Amino acid sequence: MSPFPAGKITVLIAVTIFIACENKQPVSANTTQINFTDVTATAGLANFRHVTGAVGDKWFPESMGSGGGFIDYNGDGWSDILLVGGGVWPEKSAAVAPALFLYHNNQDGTFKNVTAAAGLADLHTYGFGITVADYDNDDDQDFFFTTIWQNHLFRNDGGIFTDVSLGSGLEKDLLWSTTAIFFDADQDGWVDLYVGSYVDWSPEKDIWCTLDGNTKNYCTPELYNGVPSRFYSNNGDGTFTDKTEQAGFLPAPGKMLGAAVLDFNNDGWPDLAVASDTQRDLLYVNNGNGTFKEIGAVSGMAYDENGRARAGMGIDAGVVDNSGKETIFVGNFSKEMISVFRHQSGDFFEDRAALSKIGRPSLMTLTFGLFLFDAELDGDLDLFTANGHVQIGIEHTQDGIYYREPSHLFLNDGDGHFADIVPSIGGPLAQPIVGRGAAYSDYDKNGTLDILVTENDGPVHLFRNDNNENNFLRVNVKSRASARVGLGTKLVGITKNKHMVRRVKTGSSFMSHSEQTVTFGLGSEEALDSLYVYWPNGSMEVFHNINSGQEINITEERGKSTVQ
Amino acid sequence: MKKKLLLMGICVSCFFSACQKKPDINHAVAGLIFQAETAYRNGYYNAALTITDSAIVISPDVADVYFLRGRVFTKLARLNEAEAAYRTVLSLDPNYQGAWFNMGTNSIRQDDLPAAIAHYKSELLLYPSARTMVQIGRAYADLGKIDSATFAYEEAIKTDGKNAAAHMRLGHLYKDSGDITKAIEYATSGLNLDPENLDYKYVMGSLLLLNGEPEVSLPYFQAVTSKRPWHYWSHHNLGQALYRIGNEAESQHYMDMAKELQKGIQEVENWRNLANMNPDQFMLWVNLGNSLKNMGRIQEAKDAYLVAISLSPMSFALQNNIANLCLMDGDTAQAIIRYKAILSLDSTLVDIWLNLGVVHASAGRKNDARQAWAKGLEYDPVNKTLRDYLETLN
Repeated sequence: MSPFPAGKITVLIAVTIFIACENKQPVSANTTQINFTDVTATAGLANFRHVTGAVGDKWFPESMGSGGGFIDYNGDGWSDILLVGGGVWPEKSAAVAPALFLYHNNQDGTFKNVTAAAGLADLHTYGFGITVADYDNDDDQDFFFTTIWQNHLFRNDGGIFTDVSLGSGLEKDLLWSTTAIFFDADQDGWVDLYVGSYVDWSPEKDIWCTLDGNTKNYCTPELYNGVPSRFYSNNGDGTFTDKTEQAGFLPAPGKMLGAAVLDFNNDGWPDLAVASDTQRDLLYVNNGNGTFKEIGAVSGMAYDENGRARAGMGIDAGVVDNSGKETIFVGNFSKEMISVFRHQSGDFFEDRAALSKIGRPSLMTLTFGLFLFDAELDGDLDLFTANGHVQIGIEHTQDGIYYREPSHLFLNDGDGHFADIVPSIGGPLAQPIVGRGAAYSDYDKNGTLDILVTENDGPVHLFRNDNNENNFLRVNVKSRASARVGLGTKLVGITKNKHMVRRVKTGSSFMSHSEQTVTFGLGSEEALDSLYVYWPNGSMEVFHNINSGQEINITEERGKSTVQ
Repeated sequence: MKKKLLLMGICVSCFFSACQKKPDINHAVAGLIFQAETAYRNGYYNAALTITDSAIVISPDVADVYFLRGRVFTKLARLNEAEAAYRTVLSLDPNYQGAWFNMGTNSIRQDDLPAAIAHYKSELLLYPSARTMVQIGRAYADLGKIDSATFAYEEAIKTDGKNAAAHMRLGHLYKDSGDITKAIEYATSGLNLDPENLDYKYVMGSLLLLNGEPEVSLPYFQAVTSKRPWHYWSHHNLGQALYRIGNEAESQHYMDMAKELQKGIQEVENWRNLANMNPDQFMLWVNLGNSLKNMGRIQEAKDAYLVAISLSPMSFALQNNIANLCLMDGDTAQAIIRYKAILSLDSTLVDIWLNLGVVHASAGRKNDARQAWAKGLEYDPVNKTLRDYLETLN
């Protein structure tokens, strides 16, 4: 040990440098001129506010928030917006809060509230999430709405929705449901439904939790029993049958908050990755017949590197590097990194949270909504996350953790290494919010993908993507043999420098729904050299030399046409 | 006799470490500090506090007394009282080595990281050491201030290249930033400095597994699972590693064990959190002790029971449990002391006479065993077990 006086000088210098150290700017990826603008108010969405029904009892569901997203309810090719309003507690308040809000896209950057006109104004419940698909194969977008009581299936009849829950087979389970996902598990052309269940909670079972030992605060899910999620097979006649056990989805720990479809083993059958809150995450591999085997633990994606289950909220999966393998991303709690698991071979996934450079920047934030999208249209899938804590006032009890948090936008360098550019670009993404649901769509049809974010007990945000430097191609698919909107279709776009894999899907993120149009970012390329379309029924079609700057429709076995 | 001498020797050295060589300490107070230190080290926390109370009456301005009280309160998770004690130490002697450090550690326990950093820096100014720098680094890392944490660990290594913890923690930072190669480099250094450290072996195994070297990771995990059969994390990762090298059957075995252990681990963590938030709740510490004992974590179970017994000293059942755990831990002397202490308060407890006799018999002290069992029979003449045991001595 150094003599006292010299040691003291060394320490003084060290103390000074400690203070200086944290002023370094983070290294950023090649950002081009990426820029987002908050257009919530100008778009006509400023009056929306999510409500929790909180009156001071700090009931657990009030901390959850709700999702939202995009739906083309009138089939005009423009993304409309569907939001979940939250709810109130009937035993606590006589107030009436609308459960759903539907905004019609005026095609000029603005939206108009058409909730009542669309038949959605009369529902009052405590709602959470939405998922959109054409479940009855009549060429329009229906949706499924999860709540803390009965869930609702809404059938689209020419732009007006009818609640057809009763008799659908989906109305029986009065459980706290969260995320739901439509996907054609058995490839019979009719989309099936997987509905996430959370915990066994009721006002009578609400637990007293505290941060400071004196005042009640919101609990975290460890204290409640999980309820396993449900799988419903589409009967093709407007009804569903609960086949949770037959399809291999039991036993399951419950506490599900996110689900994403992928095909990690490239066998053409959809697999399912599930984010479970404080439980192990799940990976259901399709047996090739619509039944599943859960392999999360042995695959390595269920836990962190120390075998610990993490929070597990938003989730997405996609090919983000030159390996061609799918990577699963899961949003977790504060002091937990975002999970990044890339498929290796066989059933194995490798933990790439730190290697991807996503891990450390995400350590202090609490991530809910999360999705992959090409933010700068360079052909690489980037990662957006909506963040926000669950404990009001957390900053008073835990240093470095905040209730309101900025979003992350991790830009991909093309080989699965990411950099969060929000600290450097600032703007609306850097604004601290209580982020929950997140979805993307090109709502203004300029080729760039815009972002919708919901807040818990707060407004919605529409962030317009103003990065117009790069070229794009947008593709809609319609299958004849498979589920009409082509759910499960894999598209591979190839240019000189890029091999881009995309999938038509629902689900992902947190209780939210993004558009089903596939966007290929082409960078400076003027055309997509080749487009391979792998239909769910196993057939494949290829198209060559498709010019950029357009949106096209591809109908199975009938070729492509440009969207007017 | 040898053991007694050894014990005395340990106590004397403890005495010297407890007192900061103040030549003018009252002789009586010095003796009380010695007794209190002994009581503290043997888990008699209430006795330690009572003895220090007596010392304070005699000489209220001896910093060593308050320092010991701070350590006792910390053991009892009474962290506010611990802080008050340490502040009293510093008011009496601003240069008291370890006071700021211990306050820093308690601040970490209370999740007050800026306070922890401030306390550690105060300690660092007085007594620069790698150990303190490592703690500063740890607090910065928990705050998400990685550059500062890295600097702290690097400075710790420059100050003392043999500080294994600094190497390990710096490796952890590199792992989090994605530089697994460097992480392994530092973990290797750390493990070389402390080769028997099971926590370090676990970390090394995990890094190798993360680096795609499952076969190389195996012996590290196996070293931990063999010595810590309750260690859920090494069982889980060993299962993962075995699966990756194609040994599915053995992998399943460890994954199944991990699944069972996970429940126990969760239970322990739940009780620990509750007990730390409510340190005055007897049953929470008992439940913590029970859950630790169920997992075979004997020393930790004993620690939890000792806190509980300080809250309810007349709980003979718990005293008996502690004595039994001392026995399981190989500390026969303490077990006997505790059995006798229980019996001095209530000599009618037949089970305690039984246990005391068993301890004596195991050590070959047949006469003592006979006496203990015979005494038990006085209170329960028809006790078959006692009669059978006595029979074995004939």
